[in-house]
Amino acid sequence: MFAPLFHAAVLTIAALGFTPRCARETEGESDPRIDRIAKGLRESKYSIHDLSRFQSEGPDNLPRFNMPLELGMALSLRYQGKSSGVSHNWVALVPYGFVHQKFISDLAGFDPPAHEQTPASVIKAISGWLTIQPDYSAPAPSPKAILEAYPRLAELLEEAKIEGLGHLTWPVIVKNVERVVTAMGEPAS
Amino acid sequence: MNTWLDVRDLEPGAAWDQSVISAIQAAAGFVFLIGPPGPGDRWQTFEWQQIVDHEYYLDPSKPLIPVLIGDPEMPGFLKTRQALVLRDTPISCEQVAESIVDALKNPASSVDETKLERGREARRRALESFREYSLTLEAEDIKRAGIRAIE
Repeated sequence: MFAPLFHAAVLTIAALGFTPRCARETEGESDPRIDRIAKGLRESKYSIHDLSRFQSEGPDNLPRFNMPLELGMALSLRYQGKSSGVSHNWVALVPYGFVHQKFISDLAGFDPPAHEQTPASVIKAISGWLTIQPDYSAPAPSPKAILEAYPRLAELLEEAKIEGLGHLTWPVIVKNVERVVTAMGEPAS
Repeated sequence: MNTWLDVRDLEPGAAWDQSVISAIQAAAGFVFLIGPPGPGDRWQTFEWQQIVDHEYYLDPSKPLIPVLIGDPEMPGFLKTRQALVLRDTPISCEQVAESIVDALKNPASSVDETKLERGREARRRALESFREYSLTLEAEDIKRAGIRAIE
């Protein structure tokens, strides 16, 4: 169920004029994953961390800790940036209902945007955050226009997944996002 | 023209966030006083976020008037609006107040066409750069597929 949310996030980032990066872009390389994530974060001005998968899952009933770890790395970049002059801004997406205050209370005071595990709510949360960043350039598509384009992306990725024998690589996701964003055309205002 | 300002109009004991949301929804236009980064950023971001969430920034008939104090960084969604610069003189305050009144009377004048065109150009460049990124990824993936096949 996570893939549609991830694809909606990638589409939103690209539609708003930013280049989405992901640890999956260097899949298959010999460097440890954490090194690749650190490199991606260092090369990016902004990072988005979805903390909504906080519940235990799988046969061992364990929660995933990758996202909080990656958020910690982004936070350290932010604090280092204050002295080095290289800026990095981050946002954590949390589930609706203030439940994050129970499992990551250190985020108190940041008002992280919430989503309800749907592409529509992810598009809205990410659009809202990116739109207030200084590098956002209007005119760009509205969250509604991005949501209207999303089904086409889902369709293209479904076809690509069948072609890839059940596997979607990052280059394939990016290529299809690029097709959809190009087809969206130029927003009026 | 009626104005709303949190420090003046909030009732004692009222929930700050809910009152701000209601005031934003009821507003016909917005004046943003943007200063250097400071401890109040959290509340400022909350207010911006409400305006963005309601998509008022996409509506050219809604006057959004940034007033800059010093040389702060503008949030992206206000970049295509005419910004007023407030300097530390009484004349500047009066001029800015007059300009605010003009912009509120004529919302279309709050949109800066030159900056809008610059934004369009930035968007074209961003799309081009995204396309190049996609092609680079594809080329690297083909190389990796070759290595995978050899392995």
